[in-house]
Amino acid sequence: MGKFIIRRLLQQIPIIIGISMLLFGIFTLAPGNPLASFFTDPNMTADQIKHLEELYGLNKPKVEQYVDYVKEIILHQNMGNSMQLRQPVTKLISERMWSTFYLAFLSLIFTLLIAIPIGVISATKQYSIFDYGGTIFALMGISIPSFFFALLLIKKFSIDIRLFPISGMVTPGVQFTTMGKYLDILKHTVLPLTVLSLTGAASFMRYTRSSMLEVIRQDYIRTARAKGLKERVVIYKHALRNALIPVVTLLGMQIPVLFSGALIIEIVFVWPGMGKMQHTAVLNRDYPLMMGINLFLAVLTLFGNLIADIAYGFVDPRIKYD
Amino acid sequence: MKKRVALLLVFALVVSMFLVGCTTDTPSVTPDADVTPEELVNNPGANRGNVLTMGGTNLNGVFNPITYSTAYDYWMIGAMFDALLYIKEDGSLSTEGGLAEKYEVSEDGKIVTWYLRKGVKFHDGQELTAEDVAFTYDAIMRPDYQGRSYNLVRDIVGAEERKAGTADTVPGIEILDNYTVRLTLKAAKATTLRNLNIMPLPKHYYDKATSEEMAALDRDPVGTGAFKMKNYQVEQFCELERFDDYWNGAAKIDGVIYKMVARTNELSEFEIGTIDTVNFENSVENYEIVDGFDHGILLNRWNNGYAYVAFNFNQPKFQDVRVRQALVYGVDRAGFVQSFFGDIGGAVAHAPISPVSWAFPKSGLNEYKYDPVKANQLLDEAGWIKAADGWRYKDGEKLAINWKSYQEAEWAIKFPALAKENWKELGVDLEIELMDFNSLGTLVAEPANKDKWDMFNMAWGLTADPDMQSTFSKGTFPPGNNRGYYYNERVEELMEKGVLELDQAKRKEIYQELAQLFNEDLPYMFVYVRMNPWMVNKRVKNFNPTEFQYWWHNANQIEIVTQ
Amino acid sequence: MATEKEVKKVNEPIKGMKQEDILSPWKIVIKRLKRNKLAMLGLTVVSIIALAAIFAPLLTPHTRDGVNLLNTNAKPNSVNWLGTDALGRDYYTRLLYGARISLTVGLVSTSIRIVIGVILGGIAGYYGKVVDGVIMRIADIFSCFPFIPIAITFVAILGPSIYNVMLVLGLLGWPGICRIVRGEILSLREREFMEAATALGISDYRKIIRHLLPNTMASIIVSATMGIASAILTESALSFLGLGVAPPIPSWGNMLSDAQNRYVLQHRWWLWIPPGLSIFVTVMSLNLFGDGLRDALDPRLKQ
Repeated sequence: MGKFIIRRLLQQIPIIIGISMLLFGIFTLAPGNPLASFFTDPNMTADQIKHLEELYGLNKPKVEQYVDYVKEIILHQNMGNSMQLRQPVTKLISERMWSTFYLAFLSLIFTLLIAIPIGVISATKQYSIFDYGGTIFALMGISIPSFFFALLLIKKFSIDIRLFPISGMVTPGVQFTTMGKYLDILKHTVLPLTVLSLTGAASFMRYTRSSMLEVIRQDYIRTARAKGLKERVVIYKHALRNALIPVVTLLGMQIPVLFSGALIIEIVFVWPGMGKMQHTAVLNRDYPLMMGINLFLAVLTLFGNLIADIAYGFVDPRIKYD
Repeated sequence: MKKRVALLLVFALVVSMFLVGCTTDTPSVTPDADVTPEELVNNPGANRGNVLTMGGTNLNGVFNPITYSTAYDYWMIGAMFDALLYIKEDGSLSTEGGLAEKYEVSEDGKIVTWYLRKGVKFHDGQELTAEDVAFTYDAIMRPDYQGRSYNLVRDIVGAEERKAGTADTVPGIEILDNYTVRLTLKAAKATTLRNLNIMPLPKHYYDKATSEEMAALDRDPVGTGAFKMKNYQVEQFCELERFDDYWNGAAKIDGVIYKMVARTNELSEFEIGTIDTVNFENSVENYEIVDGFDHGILLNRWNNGYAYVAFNFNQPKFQDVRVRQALVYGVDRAGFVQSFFGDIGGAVAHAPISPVSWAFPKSGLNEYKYDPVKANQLLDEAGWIKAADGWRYKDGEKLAINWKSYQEAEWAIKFPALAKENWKELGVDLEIELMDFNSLGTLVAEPANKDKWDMFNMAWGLTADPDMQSTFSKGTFPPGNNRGYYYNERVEELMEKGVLELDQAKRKEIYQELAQLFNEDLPYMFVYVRMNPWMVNKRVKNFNPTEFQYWWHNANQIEIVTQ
Repeated sequence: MATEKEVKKVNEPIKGMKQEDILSPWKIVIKRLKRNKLAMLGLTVVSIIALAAIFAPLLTPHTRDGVNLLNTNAKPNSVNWLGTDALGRDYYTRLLYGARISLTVGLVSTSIRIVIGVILGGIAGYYGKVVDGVIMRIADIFSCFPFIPIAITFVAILGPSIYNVMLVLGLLGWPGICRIVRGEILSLREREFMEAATALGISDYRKIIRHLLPNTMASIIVSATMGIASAILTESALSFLGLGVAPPIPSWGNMLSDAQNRYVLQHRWWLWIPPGLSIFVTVMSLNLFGDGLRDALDPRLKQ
């Protein structure tokens, strides 16, 4: 197993290089220009735009730009400055990632708390009212476009009964006690968390149910029952462990979703995470920022996949790594 | 041509470009000055104390008057910095309210001398001096300067050399004494004073070796304005507090908060009282919504700009004025404006001058009312004959048009869809191609793409000066701003005359003639001018942005009625 | 052994049936499916919507893009059953055509995902070692592309259109299915029946196609139905960012995101409930059907 992990870690290096090349190529070859907003500025003349291109190094061949970019990262740990926000990319990401992570992590926990019990019970009581109810409940969560679900929640809970704030993470301009501050954040968290957890829960619940159904029909479960083990032990000790294998795969793949999947929800709720910056960076063709964010997400994803693979080995002893 | 305001609006508010304008009377609603504390009982914003909270959709956090790039950042900058001259309600410049107590312009217009007010303090307690003003001009000319303002100062003697890096000093900027700066220019223009009207940066704070180091100060600005930076939280809010030593009288409110809101929910935020002001989209639906808000007042004034659809004059089919006129007659612009902006949200545009300008002709422009019969006639005359398949042909070529639009604004999606259906009845085959704003801007700015499009739509924002050379002159073909390669000898002549003439009455005649010419010759299909509406909570007094003035023009006068 | 057992089971008389009714596996699937009421309901609804989409032009007297500025934002009435939008276009007609677009987006993008995912996942899972390594690294690279930024860039390169939306959804979505198929096969190939197959000298191709893939069918079907459903949802999310199917072509997604205005939510129910409900019902039905089909297809599930 140790050898496997080291080998996989080494394998990540060429992948990251490959991703960075592909991303750089796609971004810089795409139509559009980081200076496009200057093009439509009556104050800007052609010679000034040329001057800016030279300042930003945009006039160099793409390959040279890429090499410069990588060199800066390796030699100075510098991912460049955003052209739009004029601050170092690393700073821009780090001041937003924790908000994103906080929301994403909470929602993952809630998702699992909702999904796994419903999935398990739904499977053990297949075709019961609980099963149908659970299935329909889960499906509702993934059947509504999340932005629209968010808008409906805002309409109901923020405008009509004014229970939760419409947007943001804190109330600006108010001096809170420490406790009050947490409560304030919590109040702002409820609605986005609800949307994220419910939309996420559906797929986890269905995966749990599917694989649970499969597992409890296997011979060894029947054998376990035949041996006279308690149903609870059979289900939670023997069946659940095997049933969670595909769920673990899903979990590993969930890590990038944690950071980029909430993009739309962050935009609707004006959550101070990376969502809006990701979107505007692309709209403005802010190359250094686009590269920075996407490489960051790519590394996280690779890491997540690696964890999923390792966890796979732990939960399913039948899998052999060689 | 310095369409500074325009640019701000056009860029920063890409998404909100859907905003629009209206008729020729300026509605003048000002906040009710007689609100009593009792009336605030049902006011949802009443418990927020003596602080003004503004809602807005975005802040980039570039709070530097020479490098900012969005209008929303400028909302904050203006509250923290003052300009040398104050812009009055009619758009004219005045020393009253400005940092210059006096200025002189030489006979030939080439020497401008600023006399600064004495005793003006920066937020860090140091006094404003001529050094700071000279430094600010110089900072804009530095070789590694990345902002947009260079064009405003490039006429100063020595600017080109400084920019090119061949000189370290600028002979055109002279410090005569602690409070006097003299600028020497290469050429005199009607727009000179407006261009040189900068917001001074304190030299002792901002004088750094590189532009990156200056950018590191973006979020901790130091200016002379009525408010100073207190707390900036990315993607959440920006909080300013009163600057007690403000030279023009300390502000009456304790602070200003800019809270980020989503475009979709901005009016709801106002409704539940989380924000005091909102500069909302001028859609007919939005006007309906705000009509029901008892705790707010609508400020509905013109936006200084217009939306257009450009014709590509490289395409032979558009070189015939009858074809252009037929296309304009053939699409129901008035119906569109009515359907989207209602009675008070906007009006059809007829010329490249906004109704708020002193140069706007009150009458005499052809309105091109929707008239398919006339449109058909004009196309027949131009030789485009309807064939059996329903489309028009001339010398075997089908009258087909490729219109590029962008997806970020609603009008940019819906107006082409209307034109497609309207023109289908004329026998004109329209193909719409949507792209993102950045791609469209890049595409039409590139000279190599001059055959790749027939029409595209965008909007211009304007300044108080009606000069339009940069958008219609032969000298500004792409990569300049004359994207449609429009050229008309008479227009060229008049535009040049207009910018060199210094007498406003004579300029007015020139621009009115130009408006007539544009109206007939149609370099663009002019689509609409729009209103720029605000909703303001009744507890706020003296909050009064106008056509040429940002909300902060009287920041220290704004008051809040508290319970 | 599983395959043996299955064959035997098929040949066994099912309770309440005559001895001579020997059923093929597919008949069993259909029979099982028919017993699942929720699944049948889902199938019926999806079929009706699909038929409405196919025969859209016959079901409405109006044209899809026909504007009428004299009749904008009309309430539902006898002429315009679901009212009209801001350009006076008949909303019911646009909803019908929107069904075409949304279903096509779902179907095509999911087909792309499945074809790529199953082929690569099958090969990777079966051969393991270097082949597995290379394929899974490619899958890693693809699943590492953050979806929305890449989709935005992609759409910017090609322009927002229905084809590009399908292509993006398909090309970026396959690693999910690939990983599932590979994971299943990885664990299946360790089972006894595969050892038997090897002992019988069955070729790799046959082993993958005849023995391994059918056993992963349940997972593929589940993720395919979810795939179609989620493609419809993703298209609407892209529409929210202005990157979905380009207007004036209607999709449920761009109709719904057009209606996100506060006033519309409150006063013009006919502009958001129909597209919202259409998405909801379709996605729900697809999932119900997929769920039922999964149960019915699974040879290991006994009724």
